[in-house]
Amino acid sequence: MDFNMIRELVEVGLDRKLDDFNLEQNFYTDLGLDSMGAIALFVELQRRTGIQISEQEAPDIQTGRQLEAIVGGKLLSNG
Amino acid sequence: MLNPTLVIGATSAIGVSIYTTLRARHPEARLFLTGNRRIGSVPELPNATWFKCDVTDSARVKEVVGQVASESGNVFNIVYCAGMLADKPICNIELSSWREAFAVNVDGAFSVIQAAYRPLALGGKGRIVAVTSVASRRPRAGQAAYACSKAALNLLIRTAAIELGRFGVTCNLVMPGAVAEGMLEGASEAMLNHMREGTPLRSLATSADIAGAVSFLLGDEAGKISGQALVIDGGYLAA
Repeated sequence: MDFNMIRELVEVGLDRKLDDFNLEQNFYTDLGLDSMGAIALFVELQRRTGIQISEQEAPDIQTGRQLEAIVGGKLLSNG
Repeated sequence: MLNPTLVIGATSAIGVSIYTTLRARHPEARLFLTGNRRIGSVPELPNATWFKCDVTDSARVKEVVGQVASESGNVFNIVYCAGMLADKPICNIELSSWREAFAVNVDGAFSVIQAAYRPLALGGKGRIVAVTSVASRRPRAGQAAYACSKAALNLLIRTAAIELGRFGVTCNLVMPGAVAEGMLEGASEAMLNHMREGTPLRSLATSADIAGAVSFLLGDEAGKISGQALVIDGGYLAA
């Protein structure tokens, strides 16, 4: 999953375009993502990649870097 | 073309009318039908699957909704018409009856929507229609448990409309007044006449009227309607 896809997913969650985005920004405290936006982000991720983020995993994904890591791990374990 | 449609509470008078109407108008549509108490005597229907499902059993609800979502590729409709009366004056309602009314009329709908939430969000074109009651807006004496639980259902559906709207899913209510069949079976003619006289149209709605409204809200023409209640009461609330 590349940088642009991560940014697009966050934009779907926020329902707005981001001029300035980096992988270290916190989705919630830096960008203003709320709980509904988080669901939209993870639904969009599942639509595009088939990867499902569980309710247990979701709270630990707060930055693009963390999202990249967990998706990477799931892709590896899925073979 | 009607999405695959799950009718929860399909063995009630309104439920039977809903699935027979949908089958008649959309012969090719896939139907999933649930019932609880009267599930033993349901008819065989082409392209339809019956599930025994007590809506107060959230694990079973999750199982049924999961199967429907899987078979329909996450694009499906839900009609929630499970419901029960618990008519008694407030001073005589047992807490267990109060809770049972809430369990069937609103908790069950909550379990269904919660189970369907992610699949519907993924599919993006689903519809939810729940059958409520004019009692949720104008209760009669003795209807506290029924009216309060249906009012809670109204707000559940409105909230679902707000949350699921961003995914392209519509959520609406059909709000019958007194319906001549089903819950009023066994009512005296005097009682029915009294109810008729309370409506500007001087007639009670039928299950077929309710089913027609549900069919409309599931159809293409209602694609931009969400968070609304379609009242079918012969003008009762307007009077």
